[in-house]
Amino acid sequence: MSDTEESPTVKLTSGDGFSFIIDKAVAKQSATIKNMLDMSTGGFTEALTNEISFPEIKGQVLERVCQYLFYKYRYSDEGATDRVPDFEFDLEVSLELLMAADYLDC
Amino acid sequence: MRADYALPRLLCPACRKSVDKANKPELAKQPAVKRRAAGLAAPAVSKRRRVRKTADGLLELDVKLPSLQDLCVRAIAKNIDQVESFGDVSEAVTLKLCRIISKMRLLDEQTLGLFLGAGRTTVTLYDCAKLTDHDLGRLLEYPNIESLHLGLCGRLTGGRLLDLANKLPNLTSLTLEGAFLVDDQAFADFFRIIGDRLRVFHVRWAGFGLTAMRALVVNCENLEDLSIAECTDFDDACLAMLAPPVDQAESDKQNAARKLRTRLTGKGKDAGEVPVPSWRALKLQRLGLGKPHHVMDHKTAMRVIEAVGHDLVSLDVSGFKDIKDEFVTVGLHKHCPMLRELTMDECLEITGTGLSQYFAGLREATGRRAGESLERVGLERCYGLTAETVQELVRSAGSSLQALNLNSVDDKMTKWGLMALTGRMYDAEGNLVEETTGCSCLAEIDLSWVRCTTDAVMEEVVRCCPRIATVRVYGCPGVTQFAPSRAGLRYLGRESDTL
Repeated sequence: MSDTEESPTVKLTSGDGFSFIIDKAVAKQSATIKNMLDMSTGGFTEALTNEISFPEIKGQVLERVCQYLFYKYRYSDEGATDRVPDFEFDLEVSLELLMAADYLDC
Repeated sequence: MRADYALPRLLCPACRKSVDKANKPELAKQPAVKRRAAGLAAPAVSKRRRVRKTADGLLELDVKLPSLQDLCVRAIAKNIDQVESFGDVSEAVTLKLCRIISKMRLLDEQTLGLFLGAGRTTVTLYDCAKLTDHDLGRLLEYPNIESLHLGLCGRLTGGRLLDLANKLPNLTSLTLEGAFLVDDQAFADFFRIIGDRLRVFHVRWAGFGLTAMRALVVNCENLEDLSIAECTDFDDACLAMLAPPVDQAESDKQNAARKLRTRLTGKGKDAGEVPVPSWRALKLQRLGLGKPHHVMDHKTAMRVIEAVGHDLVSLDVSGFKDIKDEFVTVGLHKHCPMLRELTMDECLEITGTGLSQYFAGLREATGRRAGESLERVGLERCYGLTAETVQELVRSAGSSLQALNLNSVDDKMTKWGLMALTGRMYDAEGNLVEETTGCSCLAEIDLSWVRCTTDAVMEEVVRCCPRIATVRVYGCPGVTQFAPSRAGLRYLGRESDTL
């Protein structure tokens, strides 16, 4: 099992069954996911299987979250300068997105 | 010493420039590793950012990339006028949203609109620190509000509080935390205006004192749920108002207020001489008086429990350091037949024997059916507790107990006391003397700093309490990573999780 720790990607599954396979470094932009994948602090099962399921987050929202994680990974070093484009999302999902963001701490 | 010379602030401007120049490639290299996507453009960006910062006169502190939470809240706040477009927002979602926004300390006049609405009967605002008195005035536009919770409302003034009573005709429940600007008199006026309508009143961290308390007992006769916690002016004399007055002066004052009230409400209009209504105890179901700032006398507490105990379902007397065993063995035993939730944290004078006697009496006196006994018991820092006390508690309330707090009850506790939770009673030598059903409903237990909690004890407890979900074990070195686990069970404060 310890070999799987080397896997560079992690699979995020939404409550309605959509899966997103993204780079671990990208996923770790979320503090919650970072803690889940951190073997030194507790050893969550997620760290061994490299699969995390979010039963309370819908696929549509989780997709936005993944997009934000990439956005943050890409631009976090630049800070909020003019060169960084705004992160766009629909107003309709903003409530659910806020709750997901709160849980994921990102 | 050489290292000191290398510090830039010790150099003259000309030398500093040259040193900076020499160091620059090295410094720039460090972030560039992270910034592999940005590539060569990296130094240019940092320069740009610095320029921007100085240009804004360092006012632009938010140079980090905004978090997704920030973005969402900003988007929601910006489009607050189109709240309908968010779809059907349920009460639970609103509460959660308020919690998130309050946690981020972003509840201001813009975001306030999200939690108000013509159809809302319950308004809960956890953090009103950024809402001015004027902003809180917007609450008055929604006369449907029945229940109002204002957390950290340090800007609420007495006048606004009276407005709430005057202009919200359906208001029956009010919770205020940190209302420092509202003084004793304003609270009293509030009770006079709202009168019988008030059913639930919680106040915490406020200047709630004698005048307010007198107005409360005289005017709010339908109060069911009262909680006064951590108010600096709330003392023994205030507590005594919940019981019939013994002092003639106090009695006169209350009667005068009662007379005035009868005259104002118009009940005594026809008769020339207004009959003064006699003293009546509040029919409280829940009473919370936790963590008082002043010493509460044992005798006063006894009188209060005698007066209001009859309907009490929930009682919190945490921090009543003066109350003695008699309070539980006589007071609670005789006067509180309905009690389901008892919190007595840090009642230092209460002994294990007294509590054992109370728990035993609970079982014998009523002969209730199973499941109709104490459900939540908090005995944090009642250092006198012994193993026998827990055994008696399990015997009389085992089948109904849902939450138990034994935090820091370490002095006289043994593992046989904790084993009682499984339903098996052992004597001091560890011989099994009796077997009962145990705590079949127990979901939450706090055993922090009870040093006799070990993996072996937890093994038995977890096995015999099928519903147990939360176990707090701060400062219990005996509970290790090998403690029993199962789905849905979590340990909080376990040493091996953090070290």
